[in-house]
Amino acid sequence: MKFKNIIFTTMLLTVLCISLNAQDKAEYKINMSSGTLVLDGIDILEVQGYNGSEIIFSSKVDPEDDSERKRGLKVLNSIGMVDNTGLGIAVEQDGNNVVATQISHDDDVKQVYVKVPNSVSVAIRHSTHDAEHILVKDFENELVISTNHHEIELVNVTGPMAVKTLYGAIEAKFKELSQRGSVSIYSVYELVDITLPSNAKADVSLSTPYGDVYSNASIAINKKNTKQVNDKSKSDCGSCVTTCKTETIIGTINGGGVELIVKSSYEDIYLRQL
Amino acid sequence: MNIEHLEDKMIAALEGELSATEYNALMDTIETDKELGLLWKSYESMYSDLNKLEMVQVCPESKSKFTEFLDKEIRATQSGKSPSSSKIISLVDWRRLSAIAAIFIGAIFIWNMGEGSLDNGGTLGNEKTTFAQAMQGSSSTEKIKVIRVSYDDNNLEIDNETIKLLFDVLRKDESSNVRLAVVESLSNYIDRSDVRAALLRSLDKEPDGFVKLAIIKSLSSRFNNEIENKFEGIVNDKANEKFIIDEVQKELFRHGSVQI
Repeated sequence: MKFKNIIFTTMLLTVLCISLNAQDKAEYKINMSSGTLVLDGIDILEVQGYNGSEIIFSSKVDPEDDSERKRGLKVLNSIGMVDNTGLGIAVEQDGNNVVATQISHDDDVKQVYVKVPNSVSVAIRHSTHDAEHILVKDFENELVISTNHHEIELVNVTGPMAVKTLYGAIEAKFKELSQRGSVSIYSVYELVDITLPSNAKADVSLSTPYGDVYSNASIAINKKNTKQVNDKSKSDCGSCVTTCKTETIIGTINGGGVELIVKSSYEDIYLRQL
Repeated sequence: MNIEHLEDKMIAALEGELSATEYNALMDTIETDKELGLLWKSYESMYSDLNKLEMVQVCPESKSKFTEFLDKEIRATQSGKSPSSSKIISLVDWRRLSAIAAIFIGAIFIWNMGEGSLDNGGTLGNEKTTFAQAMQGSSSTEKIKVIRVSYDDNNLEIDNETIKLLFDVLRKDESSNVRLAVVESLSNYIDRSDVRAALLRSLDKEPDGFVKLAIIKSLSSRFNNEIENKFEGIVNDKANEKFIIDEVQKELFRHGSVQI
């Protein structure tokens, strides 16, 4: 009986070890406490701000995937970048900035987690169809995102920020609304959903030519500046073609503050205030 | 085009005397030649240094007092009386005095001009300097903030220099978010033919699809034959991204073109 117990316990521990190992994250760290971290072409990305002085890249690695065939070799790309992190990304120092570029197309390594000091700015760029999801959370410094296909989720962010995506929806939950820089959030073909804290002060500009704006926020709408006009296209000979309605709601929240510009060209805008 | 002519153009550009079209053409020329690039940088640096000089406050009575003094001296000379012993001036001194007077009057003239422009435009000069400085060292969101401030809802007039600065940012800034802000700001002045022409040209060079869409949208609001031709070219160029072609086709359709 005792022997059986030992065998059972050993097997259980082995299974547990394998399971834990499969969830282990490979990590790559680099010291950085100022400048901009550029994250280039990463398909699935999670960025988390923290109070530290290292950028910590990590990715879930399946140990079974680390086959003998790959051992001792590195992923290369056509412009000479090399996976110097073991995470399918190349990390290079560029002056005061650090640029991390995804170079592997392996599904197991293209999901990248990055912990970023809140003293560092982050710029995310991506243009291909492989994009899936970007999550930025607990981040307090400048954030710039330019992508074509990502869904973007921002949680506990403060701004300033400039975020744009062509085909993805954007959901942003602000912890507070920073009064430095500006906040612009644009999607062309998908919705934009913003949640602001109750004390957020902002000069808002909400624009959606083909959608509606939904909000519970107390916006003091500046009717003088709000543009609700028929977009008349003039030809050189003076004829006019009445086309679509262009509506931009301009106003202030809590007396006004930082510029908050929200646009969705073809979908709705949701502006919530807690 | 010879180098002297280009130098004249560069100076005119720095003086804000070129239209946006002329300015962009000049920038294109400069970009093709390293020497021209260095020359342009030296002129830019010289003008930048001049702009940094602090305005000297000159006593407003200085000019009248000096003129009064000169008149007195001239009258004394013409009447044959020798000026007061403390004011005996030799011929050589007269020349020196004339040179100093010329510089002095010139300084007063420049000062008056400076005062006049401030009266007319508030702190426009300072705003432009701030704008140019912000475009050089600031973060993307700070640049966007400044660019949006450059547009005033209550004043649809904009000077050539600001337009030129905006196009310079559109051509050079690495951040597509910043370039997008520039296009949105310029869209407020789409009635200007030079703005339309420069936006049309920038369509060929703009690498970011989002910014391209904004330019297309802006140009579509003032659709004309030139824009139609450009749009047809985009539709026929299959190298363009599909969403760009779709958007352009939609605009052509909206305006009754027979492309679809």
